[in-house]
Amino acid sequence: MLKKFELRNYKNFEEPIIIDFGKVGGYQFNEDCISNQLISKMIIYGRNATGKTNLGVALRDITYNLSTVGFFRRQEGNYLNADSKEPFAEFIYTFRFGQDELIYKYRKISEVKIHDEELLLNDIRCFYYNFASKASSFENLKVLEADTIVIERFLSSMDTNEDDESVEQTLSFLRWLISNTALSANSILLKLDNYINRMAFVTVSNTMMPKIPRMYDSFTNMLADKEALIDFEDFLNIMGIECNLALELLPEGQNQLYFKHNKLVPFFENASSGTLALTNLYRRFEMGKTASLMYLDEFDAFYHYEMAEKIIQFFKHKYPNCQIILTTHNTNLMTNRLMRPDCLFILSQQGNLTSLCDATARELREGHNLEKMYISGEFERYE
Amino acid sequence: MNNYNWLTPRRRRRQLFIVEGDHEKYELMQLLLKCYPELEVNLDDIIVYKTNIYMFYKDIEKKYSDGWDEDQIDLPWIISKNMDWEPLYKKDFTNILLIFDYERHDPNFSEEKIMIMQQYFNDVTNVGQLYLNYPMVESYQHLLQIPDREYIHRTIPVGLQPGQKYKSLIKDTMIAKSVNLPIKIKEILSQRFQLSDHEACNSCVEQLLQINDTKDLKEQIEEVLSDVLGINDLKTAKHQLADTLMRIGYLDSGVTYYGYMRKLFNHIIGHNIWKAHRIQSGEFEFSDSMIKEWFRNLKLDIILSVQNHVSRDTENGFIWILNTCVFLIPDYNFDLVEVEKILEK
Repeated sequence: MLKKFELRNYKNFEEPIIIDFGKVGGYQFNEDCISNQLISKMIIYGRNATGKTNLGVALRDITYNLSTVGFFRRQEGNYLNADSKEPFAEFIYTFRFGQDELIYKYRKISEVKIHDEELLLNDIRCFYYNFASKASSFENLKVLEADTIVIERFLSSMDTNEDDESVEQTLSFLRWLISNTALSANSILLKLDNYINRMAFVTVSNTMMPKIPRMYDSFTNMLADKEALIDFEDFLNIMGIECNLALELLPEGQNQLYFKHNKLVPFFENASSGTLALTNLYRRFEMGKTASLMYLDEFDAFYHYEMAEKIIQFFKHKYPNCQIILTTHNTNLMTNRLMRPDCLFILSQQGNLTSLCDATARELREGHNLEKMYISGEFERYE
Repeated sequence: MNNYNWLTPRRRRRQLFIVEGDHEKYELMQLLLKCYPELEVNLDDIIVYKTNIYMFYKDIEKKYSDGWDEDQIDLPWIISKNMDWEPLYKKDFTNILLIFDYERHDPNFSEEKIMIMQQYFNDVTNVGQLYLNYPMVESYQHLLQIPDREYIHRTIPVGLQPGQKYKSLIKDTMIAKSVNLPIKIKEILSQRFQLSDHEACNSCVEQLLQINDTKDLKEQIEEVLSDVLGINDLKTAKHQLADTLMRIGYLDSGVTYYGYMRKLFNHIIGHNIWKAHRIQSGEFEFSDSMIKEWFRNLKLDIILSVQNHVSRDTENGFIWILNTCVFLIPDYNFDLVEVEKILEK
């Protein structure tokens, strides 16, 4: 699991910002927000333009370093903080796998250019490589059981491609190491790779929600399984959207989803924004049932407050071990009925992330009305 | 040209302390806030609402004739209406406290009304928290020594009507003397030495209270007063004030007045938690390790119903001495009170 994420000099975050999943308070309620002594259900609040979306994008940055698909060039600008002179953004991910603590640190010049990277296992530096100066340290690869690797091949590939740096700097040493080493099945590097591959990021508000059924073909085909269709229908009903669904096979071999009334009403063309948003969310879950971490930005932008609550209950019930980070403006969810003060966070205009229990000198208790306190300014200094 | 000045941000993080009289505001609360600066409450936020709890009940009924619905009553709004201020709303307040005396002898006394109030005002961060003091707010001074193992048994007969009689009963306790030190110093400076400038006088009092050791005590006092008193007065004043400070006894332990008072309040809070637990549960064995749990489990409405019960008989009835308004400190954060040493000196 991810224990801690630290970020610096990235977009609006000039100063270090930390998401610390390990900072668990001693609350005796809603223990389903915690998993293996780490926070597994987290909600982040914050005024507009404090960087809730940027934080999610930053958290996802590691997936590019580990991506097996040679990743295409994305925008190069607007990556580093615009007020800082420092030429790279710094990322530190601390993972916990069983008893082991793994820290992956890297600095990047842009979204695609790595400056240097470093991996530590239980405080031992396993490797370091600097793409600019070519400074390196590979002595402790044996700690990772990866000492059979022929480092020279990596180094020579770095040398030969010196002119064409745009290609090679996008490939992290970590990715190269994992791809080119014969690792045992319980290797910590595979655990890391596996975790990162299962990180999922969903932006609900900015996602285009097309009303074109073709865009949902793979999803609709998945519903051809009768149980899957019932599950989806149950999901919508639990969430407060009362409906019956039907699936029909069209002559061209494609399935079409309908609301079942006296006449069949095509689903995607007629579903409300809220229903479509919910469908998109469901689709993401179904397809990524095994997610290790999910960052859901403004997850309930289209939802009635009761539905937003139900979604959180759904998450707790269905994905107890998945680390889920939700951002929202819905203060109705800022409650000890569902959450707890150490799992509710405020992202400030200065770029600090503070849990409610650290944002006041008052001892927060289960009976407190956190939403009312937030609105009254109890946590004002951290907003 | 655009002018967005009309869009002024609302002022949040406000505090409302509703108290009955000047003693609560200028003696107890002022002192508590100085001893526990962590609360960050400004003295100006304390509103002296010269009424008792039964009159206050009527004020609320007038505004909310349809009953005490959950979360509906907005105390800042009622107060602002009654005081003829710009309207205030509870959503801007992080702390709302009501501190009232039990007032069994009041002609308007009603077990039912006071119970409604106690049960309704139960959240300092939301609707407000009512702290009732038995028989009145001065009961925090009713420890005769530290520690005072007799305190948990202490009662007054219901026939002893609070007011001057109760006050005279406690006016010489060590706590009363300690609490009165700032007033006493002020009296000495303003009356004995005719220091008429209020601001200068208050500033001297504060500086004198910051002294924290006996070494060169008279010289320290002289330094504080050298700008405001003449040479002759200075000579007498330093002796008299040194004597006044020494008599309270904290200077020997190297703390300032507020440091000393904080410790004293910790004792007062601890004794009252113990007492409240006793009233609520009937158990009176003391245990250091239980005190936090006792506090967590306190139900002020149960305590009120016990008090109502034991004081019903006008001849043989009694009232348990208990001060709950000091609980505002552990209610904010229990760690502010170092309760482990309640029964140690």
